[in-house]
Amino acid sequence: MIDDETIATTAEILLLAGFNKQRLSQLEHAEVVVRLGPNKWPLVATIKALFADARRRSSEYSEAKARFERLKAERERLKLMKEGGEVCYTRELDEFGLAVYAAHVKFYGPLAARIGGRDLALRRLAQKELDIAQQGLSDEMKRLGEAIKEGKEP
Amino acid sequence: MSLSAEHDDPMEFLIAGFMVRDRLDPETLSRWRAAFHAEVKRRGGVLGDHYVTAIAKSVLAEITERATRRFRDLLVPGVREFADEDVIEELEVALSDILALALKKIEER
Repeated sequence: MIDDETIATTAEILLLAGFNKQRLSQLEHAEVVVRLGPNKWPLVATIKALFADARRRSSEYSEAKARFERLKAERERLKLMKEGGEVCYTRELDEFGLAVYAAHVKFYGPLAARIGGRDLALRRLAQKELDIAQQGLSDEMKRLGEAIKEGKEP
Repeated sequence: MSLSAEHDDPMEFLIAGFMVRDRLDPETLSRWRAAFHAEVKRRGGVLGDHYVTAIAKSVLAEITERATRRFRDLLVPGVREFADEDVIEELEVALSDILALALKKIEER
């Protein structure tokens, strides 16, 4: 009859657990199992401790495996999206944004001429208003930039 | 029109910066880029060092559109003081054409 008091030898523990001496020694050093004395192990407590350790390791392994699988799926998704042209490098988009800006603002230069036509006085007035509008945006940008610098959201 | 309106809209910084990008100092330009990245991320468009192109383009298009509108709102009242309605109409058409070209460029990427 086995109960909490039952004592087992090292050989019996190795046989029941299917470990070699080295593995059992590692678990002892990690304080997973504790022997009572030379060649004396509390059978029930040792087997319970080995099961608990195995369950914990299994859970850790499952989490690591799930994380690995998730990353692998993300890599696959990214690969497919790259092949389909659905994604681009962030720096490419930044360069594209700059190109859009450059193409956009170049039309503002001739705007005064378009408004004023041959009337030079009107052109000058229009150009002045264009400058004021741009300056307004610059000032706003400066103000928002300062707000960020001071730790406030723009 | 007050530029400080809708102060708490995170897009305001991007909108104001877009139209004056060549006037920005390196630090502010860097902040503008970070704000753009944050906005794309907020919309689920960041995958590592990649953007989901459609999402990033939609942010860029929105910035361009709202920045043009903002510029128009700043410009038109001033021009109206010395120009007649024909000139204002010409200005509106010109701004609309400029915006259409920019949006087409974004769309075609």
